[in-house]
Amino acid sequence: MKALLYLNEDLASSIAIRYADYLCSAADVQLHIIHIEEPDTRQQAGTGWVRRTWESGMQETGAQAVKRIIRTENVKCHFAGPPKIIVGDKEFETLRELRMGGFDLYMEGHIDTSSTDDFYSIVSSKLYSQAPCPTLMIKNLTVSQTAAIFLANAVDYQRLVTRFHDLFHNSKFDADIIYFKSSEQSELTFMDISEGGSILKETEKLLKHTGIPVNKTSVLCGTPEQAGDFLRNYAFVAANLPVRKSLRAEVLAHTPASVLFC
Amino acid sequence: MRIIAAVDTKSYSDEIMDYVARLAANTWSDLTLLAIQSGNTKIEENLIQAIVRYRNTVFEHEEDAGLYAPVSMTELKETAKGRWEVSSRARKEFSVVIRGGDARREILAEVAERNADLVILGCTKGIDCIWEGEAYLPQKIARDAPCSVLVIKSARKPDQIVAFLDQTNVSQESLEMINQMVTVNNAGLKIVGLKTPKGVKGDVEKKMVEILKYYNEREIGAWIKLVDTENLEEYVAQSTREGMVALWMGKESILSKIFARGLIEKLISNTQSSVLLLR
Repeated sequence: MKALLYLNEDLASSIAIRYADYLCSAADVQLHIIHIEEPDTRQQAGTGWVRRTWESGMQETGAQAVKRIIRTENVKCHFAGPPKIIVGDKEFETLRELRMGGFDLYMEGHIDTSSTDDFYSIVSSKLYSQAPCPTLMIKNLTVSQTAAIFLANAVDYQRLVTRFHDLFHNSKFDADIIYFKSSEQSELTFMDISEGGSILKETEKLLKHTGIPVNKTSVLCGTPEQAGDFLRNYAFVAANLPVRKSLRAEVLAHTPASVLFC
Repeated sequence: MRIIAAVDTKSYSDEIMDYVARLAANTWSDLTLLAIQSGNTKIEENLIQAIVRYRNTVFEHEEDAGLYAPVSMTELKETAKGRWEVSSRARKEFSVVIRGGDARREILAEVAERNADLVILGCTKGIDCIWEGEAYLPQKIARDAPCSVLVIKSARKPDQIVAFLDQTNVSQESLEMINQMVTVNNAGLKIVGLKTPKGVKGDVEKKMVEILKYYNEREIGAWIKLVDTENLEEYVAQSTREGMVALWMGKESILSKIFARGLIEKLISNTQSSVLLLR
């Protein structure tokens, strides 16, 4: 798969580059790096030679920052070409790069916060909602070879399984199917898998058909916080991109695991 | 490292011994069993019986390591009015100290005399978290001790250590202590940092990268989480339900400024598991 990793010189990127390194060891990934220097409005002055000089200065600053983070993290994976450094609007330039480059996956680091508003503002951004490929929100470095296929009422399981298969059919990853049912209770409980209804049944069938190994299937019943915490040890949680606030989205907001939006 | 396990004759003291023994064996620490009684003229018989049980638990855990040499209760000597002691040394020192009098005063005096790094004590499971005959003792020790304090309310192994670290002033000792807690409990580690509405400061981020690398290099997986300072109290309270809560409370800690002393006491009272205050 052809993947684009966004890097900055911060904690989120420090985790993201190490996560990408791990992903490269577990799947066939052609890794490209992008960094965008966003000038503030006061800086955007001048035309012609003045502007070009100013832009190349900013590019050089960005290139140095990316070089530093790659050197500091000392990752083993090989990059497909030098990092791409662009001056401009992050969302606009990243979307353009994803479209022009024909990427299969976009990855970036986001530190897990206690605020669900932070999560909603990211997933409702132009970058996430208009990305032409799945996006991987890297929250933490979880070394595991099992991913969670996250289901709930009314999810588009066909899209989820197809995208997951497209990306990881030749990888070391296997999957657990997790169906979430919301309930206010003091502890997370596990229900009979029949509680997952037709969505769960059809997902199992489809995964079997595509040849993705499934370890186990669980129906979780609890609060979004409890379910989010339960998912913490998975390599990533594959889910549909939330289009509105919901309890299902809150699970994804609360989990410390990385989330693959399909 | 020097650990003091403060005990009396009650079941909550019995319940912490297994944990104390594992932690001491894992960290190769000098260990003192500090037994407290009310009278200071002679050693109470039921206290001796309890100490023998506690000592046996310690030796069951480290019998192959040869860390401590056995001690006999018949060799206890009165070293000061109301204070008896017996100690031995193999690779590390093991001692039993009995002190009579006010529990808070006696524990703090022993901590000061021995320059302890960590005091461990248990308490009743209810909201009060008390020692028999001594209201709010764990809270008072947590509040007043100059060293780190671990209050164990539930003997159940925590699945997760939620460590609230003051990222810019983290000592090597406190990192190592959390490392040991994770290993002894075979638990996951969540490192919680603070952020303001303006975001996270650059130096704070750098420190969190260092902390994460420190644990990853020791093959300890750690989850990072950022919490708004205004939601911190609520988040800490929620974390006490998830597992052991570790709070960095050093002199220069931002956390110690956010948390009023009364809140530490409230936290220990309300927690369902264990609280580790790092100093």
